Amino acid sequence: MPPVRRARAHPAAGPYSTDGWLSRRRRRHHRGVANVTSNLPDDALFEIFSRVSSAADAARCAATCRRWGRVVAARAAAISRALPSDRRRFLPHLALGFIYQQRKENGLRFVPTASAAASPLHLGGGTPLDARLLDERGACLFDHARPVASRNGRLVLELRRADGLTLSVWNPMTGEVSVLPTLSAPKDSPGDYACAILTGDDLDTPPSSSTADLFRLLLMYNRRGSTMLRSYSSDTRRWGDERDKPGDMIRSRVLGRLGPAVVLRGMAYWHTRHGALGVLLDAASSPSPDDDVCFLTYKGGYCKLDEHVLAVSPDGKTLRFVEIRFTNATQVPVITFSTSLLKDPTTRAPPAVSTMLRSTNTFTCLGSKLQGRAGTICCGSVKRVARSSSLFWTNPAAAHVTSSRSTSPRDHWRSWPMECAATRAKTSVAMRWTVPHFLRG
Amino acid sequence: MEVDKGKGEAEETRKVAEADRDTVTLKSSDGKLFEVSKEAAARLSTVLAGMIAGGSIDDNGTDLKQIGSEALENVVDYCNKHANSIPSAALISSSISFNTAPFKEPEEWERKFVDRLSHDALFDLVEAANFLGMERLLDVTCHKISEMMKGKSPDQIREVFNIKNDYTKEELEEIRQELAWAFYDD
Repeated sequence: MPPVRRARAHPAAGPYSTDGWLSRRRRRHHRGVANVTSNLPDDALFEIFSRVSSAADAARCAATCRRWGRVVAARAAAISRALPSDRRRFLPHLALGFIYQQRKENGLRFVPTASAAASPLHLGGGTPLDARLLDERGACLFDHARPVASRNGRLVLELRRADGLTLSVWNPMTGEVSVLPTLSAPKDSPGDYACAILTGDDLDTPPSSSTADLFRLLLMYNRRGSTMLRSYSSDTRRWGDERDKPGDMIRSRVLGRLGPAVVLRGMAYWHTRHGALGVLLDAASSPSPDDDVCFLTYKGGYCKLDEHVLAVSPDGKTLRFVEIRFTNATQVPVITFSTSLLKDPTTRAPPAVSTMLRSTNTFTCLGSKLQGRAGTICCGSVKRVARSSSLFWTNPAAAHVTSSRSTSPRDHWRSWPMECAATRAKTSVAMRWTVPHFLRG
Repeated sequence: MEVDKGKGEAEETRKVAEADRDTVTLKSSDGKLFEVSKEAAARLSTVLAGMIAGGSIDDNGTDLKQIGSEALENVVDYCNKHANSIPSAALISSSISFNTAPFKEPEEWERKFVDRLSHDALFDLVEAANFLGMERLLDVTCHKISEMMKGKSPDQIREVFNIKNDYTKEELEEIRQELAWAFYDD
């Protein structure tokens, strides 16, 4: 038996009752020329947008009409915060800033992006990192440490030890530190080496246990006239056996100069002058690694190392190639993005987007955070800009450029992008996505 | 019903009567009156809870000038149905902040409740729920709307909600570029 309904109009409605015909007619008429939401206050529209199922949905809503666009733009930060964060595929990897080392004895410093500096984290610019972790001998663990790789919120540091190579993986957001077993001299210790870190997001078949804590390290170094590969797994807490890299030996001088690796589908790619060198993580442990190493030759031939970077498209499916040049007169950088890694860089026809950076002021951090939904902020590019001293983070597909200020151009000599993998961040950081300039308030 | 009682009634008696009553009377913008149980109203709507606690509930029908009779009928309907679907104490706490508490999927009856509404009625209900501070109802209605938008292109969204595109071609192109990540096929 249904309950007695009380929702009916009250029988003794009093003198004010007009049965609503006027107001209703007026509303209907209004709607004839407009739409179902034109009577809705902005507040209520915002409530709807903050409950959509993904950031992409909210962005597409913004693209439907000016009013929706304005509401989304005006409250983008609140909408981002309200978006479901438990659905991994939409997790933004947030660019927090860079860690750099001015001189080896100076310790590590951190330069936040503008948005991270403005966030509740209060990340100060250029301040020494508070990493007063003591090792077993009572010395400060990260004294004289040298960053060698970073990815998804983790930083790999080479610790200064006399007895060989000791690497340490540190998550500055959570404070977790793993000190890896020393590769001791003279048997195991490599000389010049390249290092890549892969996290749970990068692995095809992550173990069922918490993938957030998972990481693998890949080392490439020379020994006895050939190039060797060796990997470390956080599951077993052990280094695997070292193996020969198929193909030619890489000269030690080149190995030592390789920049940060870009990771795509479990493969780490290093940018070299003539092409991208790809190494599958498992190549270091699989018995027949011939197919696990590849070299993608750039069609345009020789590239200057410091004017090009490798990147991953925002959908995480393809490698891209980013060129940064300086116009002669004004020293403003021009960033060109190729749609494909193997596009001939001499013709560059036509670049997906070309962005002119006029001054740092025009780029007060357009937070490109949500680009990373496929798992990566696409590339960290560090460029010494003669006067403006800024760092740029670029996203090759969407031409998002994130800048951060720093104290001196010298800081940019070599630095390591820090992302905050949102799964690990205990603090909620306000995120913003870019909105077209005509929508900005 | 007490509605027609003259002003001659002593204030005291009214106060007593009000305290005794377990319903509140709400008046829509077009003057229609609806009754809803006091307990349900206070539990589901922060605004009504405040009014009840503050004693600003009018026995002759509390004026809710922003809400039309159709929407108010739906609100009251929702409150009554909600009262019948107890236990739901968890729902109250879950709706305080969407930041800390994850959205709980609508229950079967809530789904049915919003499914039968027209687009007009649905958006009116969002407005009413927003005005009355009814977080759960807002969750349920907005969830329904977000389902209608999910994965749709701007063109499709415009079609569903009958929205006129007032962007220029250049502006749309700019949006597509700046928000390129949202336009990748899923």
